[in-house]
Amino acid sequence: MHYQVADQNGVAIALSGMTPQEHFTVNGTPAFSGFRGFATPPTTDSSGRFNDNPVGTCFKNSPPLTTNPCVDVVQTFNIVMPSGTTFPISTTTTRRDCAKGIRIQVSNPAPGASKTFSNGTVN
Amino acid sequence: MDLASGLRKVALMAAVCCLASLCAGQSASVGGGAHADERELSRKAFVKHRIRSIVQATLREGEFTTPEGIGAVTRVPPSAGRIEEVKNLGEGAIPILSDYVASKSPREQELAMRFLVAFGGEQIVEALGRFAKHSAFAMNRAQALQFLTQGPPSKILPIVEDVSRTDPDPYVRKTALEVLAKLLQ
Repeated sequence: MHYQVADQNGVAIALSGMTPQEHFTVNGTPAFSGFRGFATPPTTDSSGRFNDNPVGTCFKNSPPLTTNPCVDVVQTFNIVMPSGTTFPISTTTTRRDCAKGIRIQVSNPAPGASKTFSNGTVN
Repeated sequence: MDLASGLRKVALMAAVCCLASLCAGQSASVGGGAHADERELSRKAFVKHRIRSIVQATLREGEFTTPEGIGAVTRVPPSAGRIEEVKNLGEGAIPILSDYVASKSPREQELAMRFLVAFGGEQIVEALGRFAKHSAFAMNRAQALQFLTQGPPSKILPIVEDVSRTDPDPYVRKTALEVLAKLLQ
C-alpha cells in the first residue's frame, strides 16, 4: 500500500524524513499501547510518500481449518515530523482478515477519497 | 545434588555473572590476547542472545486467539524501546542481524532488517544487500530493497541494479526498478 502524506486540505506534503506510526486493534483489543513506526522504509521519501507492506493475519491450520475464520483490524496513524513534532492523521484503515481472503478499506475525511481493496473470500 | 548437576549450576551461574557484567558495561581485568578473545566471544554471545530474545518477544506480541479458539498471528512492529535497546548493543549487532537472512521465518527476517535500518548509514548497506540478494522469501528481498533506500545512493545503486536484472521473482525486479527510478531522479 502506497500512502501520500497530505495536509488538512488534502494537499500533498512533499517532505522526506517524516516517520509514520501506527496503532491497531484486533477485534477491538489494542495490539500494543501507543504508536509504533511500521513503514518500509521507516520514513517518507522526498515526495512525502511511504509504503505499508500488508501482511494481514495468519491463522493456525493444524488441524486443517474447515471454516473461514476472520478478525477485524482497525489501523490508525500519526506522523512524526523531522523536527520531532507529532501530528495526528485522520486516515484510518479498516481490515477484515480471513483465513481465505482479506478486505482493506482506507477511509479519508473529505475531500480525500476512500478506497477498498479485496482478495480471496471474506465472510 | 549430584556432582554433574552441581557443576551445571556453577557453570550457569558463571554465565549469568558474565552476561550481567557485559550488560552493565563492566569489564574484568585482562592479562593477554587469549582473554581478550574470550571476552570478545562472550560479548558476541551476549549480543546474539539479547537480539534473539528481543526478536522473539516482538513476534509474541503479534500472537492471539480468535473467539473460535483458533491461534493466529499478525505483524506487530518493534517498539521504540526495543529498537533503542538493539542500537545500544553497538555495531557488533549488525553482523548478527545480518545472519538472520538464513532464518526460515520471514517475520524474523523482516524484524532483523527493521533493527538494521535503525543503525543507518553506510554500515547497513552490506547487511541489507545480503537480504536483497539471498533471502529465500521474495517479499523480504523486495523489502530489503526498500530499506536500502536509507543508505548512501552510491553504495546501494550497484546492489539494486544487480537485483533488477537477476532476481527470479517479477515483483522483486519491479520493486528494484521502482527503487532505481527514485535513486536516479
